[in-house]
Amino acid sequence: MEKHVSRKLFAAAILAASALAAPAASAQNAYVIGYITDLSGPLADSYTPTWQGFELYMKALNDRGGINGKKVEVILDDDGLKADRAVANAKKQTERDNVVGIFGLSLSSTQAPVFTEMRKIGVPVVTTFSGILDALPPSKPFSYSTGVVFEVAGEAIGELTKNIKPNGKIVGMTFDSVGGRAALSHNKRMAESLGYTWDEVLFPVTTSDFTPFAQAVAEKKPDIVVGHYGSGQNLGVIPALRRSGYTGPYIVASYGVTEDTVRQAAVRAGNDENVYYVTRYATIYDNNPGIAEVSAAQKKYGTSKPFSSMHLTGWTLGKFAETALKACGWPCTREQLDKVIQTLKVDAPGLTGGPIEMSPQDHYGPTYWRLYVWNPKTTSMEPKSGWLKKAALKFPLQ
Amino acid sequence: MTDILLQVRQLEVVYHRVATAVQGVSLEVPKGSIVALVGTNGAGKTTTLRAISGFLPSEDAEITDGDITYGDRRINGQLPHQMARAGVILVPERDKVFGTLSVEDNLEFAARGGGEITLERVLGYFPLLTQRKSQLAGYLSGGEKQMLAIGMALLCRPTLLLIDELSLGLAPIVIKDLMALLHRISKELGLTVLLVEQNANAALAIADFGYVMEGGRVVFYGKASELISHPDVREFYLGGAAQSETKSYRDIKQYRRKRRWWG
Amino acid sequence: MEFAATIVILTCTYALLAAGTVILYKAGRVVNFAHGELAIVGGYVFYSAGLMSGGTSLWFPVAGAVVFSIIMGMFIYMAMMRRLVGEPFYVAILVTVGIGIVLKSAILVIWRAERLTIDVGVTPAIRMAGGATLSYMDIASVVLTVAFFAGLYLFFRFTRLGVQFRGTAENALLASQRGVDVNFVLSLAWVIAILAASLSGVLYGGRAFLSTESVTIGLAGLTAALVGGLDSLRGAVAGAFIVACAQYLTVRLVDPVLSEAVPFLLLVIVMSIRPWGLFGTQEELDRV
Repeated sequence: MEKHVSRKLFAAAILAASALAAPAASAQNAYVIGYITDLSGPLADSYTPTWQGFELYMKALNDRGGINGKKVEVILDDDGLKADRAVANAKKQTERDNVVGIFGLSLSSTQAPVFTEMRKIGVPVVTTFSGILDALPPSKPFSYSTGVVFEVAGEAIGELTKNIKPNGKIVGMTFDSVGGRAALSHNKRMAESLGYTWDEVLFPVTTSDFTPFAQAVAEKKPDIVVGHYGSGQNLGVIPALRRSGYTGPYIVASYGVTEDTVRQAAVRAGNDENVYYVTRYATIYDNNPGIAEVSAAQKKYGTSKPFSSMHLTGWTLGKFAETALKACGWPCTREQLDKVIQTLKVDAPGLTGGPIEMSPQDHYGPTYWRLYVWNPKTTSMEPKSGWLKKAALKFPLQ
Repeated sequence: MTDILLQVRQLEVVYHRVATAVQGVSLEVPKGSIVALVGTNGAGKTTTLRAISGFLPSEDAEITDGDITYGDRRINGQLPHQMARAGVILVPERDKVFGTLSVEDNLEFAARGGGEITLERVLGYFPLLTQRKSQLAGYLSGGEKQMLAIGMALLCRPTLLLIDELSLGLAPIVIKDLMALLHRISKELGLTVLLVEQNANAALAIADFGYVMEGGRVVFYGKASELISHPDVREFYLGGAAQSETKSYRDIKQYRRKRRWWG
Repeated sequence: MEFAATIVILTCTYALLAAGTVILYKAGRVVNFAHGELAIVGGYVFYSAGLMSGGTSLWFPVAGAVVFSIIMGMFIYMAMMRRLVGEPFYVAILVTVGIGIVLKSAILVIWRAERLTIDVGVTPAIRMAGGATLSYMDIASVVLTVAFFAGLYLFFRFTRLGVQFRGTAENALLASQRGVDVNFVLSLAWVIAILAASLSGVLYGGRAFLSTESVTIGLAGLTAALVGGLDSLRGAVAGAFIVACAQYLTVRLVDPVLSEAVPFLLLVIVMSIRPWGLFGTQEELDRV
């Protein structure tokens, strides 16, 4: 029931979107790519704006005349954060829509099977968030990521904590999931190597009342608390922590957490001045031409979700797709597309701390991370550090 | 000519769309009278009564043929509460009071404001209930339950009172008192009563008219006094033969065969 | 101190849900599996009504939630449950499961599965030793829950309609024969149950957030009702308290990750020792 409703809804949305974006495009005369993500499941809050950023980029691109004179047609499918639906969508896109590559994707649970299936038939897949390590060195063929990988984020956050307090006790929080545990363990490794003491509290994935967990955290008397999860959890955890008497610094790890979520959470927690935000992509409050360009496109084409860092993530992925398709030439085959992505370098000034650089051995590349702090007076975020460069981690770790 | 309050014509009731419970039942209840409907267990008396007072949708019972006329209204297929509000009140055979409610709450449940039947008047008929007021109805004795049930029914301001098995499970002395009381109440309040009874003796003693049912049909009817003296009725339903000598099994079978079917 | 407060507030959330489950069971022998969904949708309606009125007054969202409960209660009973009387009990249960799925889709379609928080009275009202605070909403949730149960008690005990309600729950046929419109009473049961659920949803939205996942509070509420005994309002409160304690103590003393499983573990234990629940009547088992 639920699937049908949302599927119809989004089918209508795709029709509308493709009608707007590429009125003259046809399968023979356009680059056809697939986009699969969670638009109706538990993480739709994060993935919808990411898709919208990608869509904005494609609209602007097609309005400019497309690539090599060809428009780009995007086939959008909703996986509802369900693995079987994600795989079915990917098969449909490769068999019926004949896409050259697939972009987007939601969590590890949907990525892993899609990566595996597409590898079999040689379709490159580029994800934003990545819960699994296929893209990290030693990278597996056809699997790429331009987003946040938990392990790398965990380390980056551990390092950036120095900009808040040089020592003390960090309590990490996450929900009980593979990705959450991975982020936590890497954060812990880095924090301990920098001389912090570490403790952690995990809660079930479906939790929505965080009070008991927040009280458990407050009782540990932390100096800094880090939350490795999505929007909803932050929305619940931050006020719950403050209610439980913990008023110290709290770091939001940006796994699809929007600025608006941070604002809401900070407002709920009583105009909190101690909420930090670590992100791989810039925030919408940054003042630079790169952000201004996305913002202008957002104003021009409109998005249903409030403008956020997630739109910047999607936009950058759009730029990545454009660069790849351009290098691929016309006609573009899957093999050719994969080949060019392997050595692709995409610069997204203002949106990231440095270029996205792929190599045949490393399908993730170096990433750049930055610490921001929420300012309730200006209701915006201010950078508290420069961009920290992290090389892609090599697995297995020692 | 007597004023007929309730008329049942050619009634047929089917349960669960397959089981025919009564067939071709016709009866008349004149205004102000007490009519007894007697017959053995399973004869279709209760079904007839229930058809008059209305079925709940959940009972999956349907009047498939015939008419029930109350006053000048055809009332086939009305819901119980609609009939209750029209003044047709049934005292059922089982589950006649709310066992989890106190006696007082049971009476309050039923009470409809206005009218000449007040709580005081009802308690006047059943003084025992006053003492039991705060007790749970589930803990009352059989006779007390019956009193409470009639009291509740009276507080619903009935025009036509339908009583299913007043005597069931009660001691003979209690039955006698209750029947006498019912007669008195009926006359004092001008109530019309349709009484369904297995205990035909007790019922016909206070009734003006009687109907005898068997196997889903009416087999005898007439004035109560006539029925009491009718030899077949006496033999089959009143527990005694007109003649003193006992008959053989074969003779009884013959009587059965000879019986006329009405309706 | 704060742990006691948390348990009490959690108890309130679950007790309101369990009370609705008990009322529906008593009135119509229906176990409602859509209760969590009804609660959360009630919260969403409250939020949207507040948004529509510009968030200036509480009356509009409250009226919105009440109207939602009345319409939803009448609709579920008159359009669905009424037609199922006489069917095997599991048919009604399956229908409620279906209602739950439809409501969840409604959250997706109407509110786009957006996580919403109801920010009414979230400012601290009481500061406890150690810096923990209780908001006005927290206090309101206790006050409103107590008021709801007191109101329910007075209604059932002292009003004619309440007495008719109890009578109908015991014997619908006799109630109908005594002039009570059973359909009205059973619709009312749904309305009251959904009203309690909506209140619970609003309080939950103030404390945590509303989302498609938060419908799982319905399971905690159902567990509370089952633990307490499906036909006992006292049991609903006791069951809610037990579930809340079990959940909270698991988080604090055992392993936070287990807290979701605890209510079910509890359910299994109670069901195997005392299948009719702590305050339930044993005979009720035969009816199901």
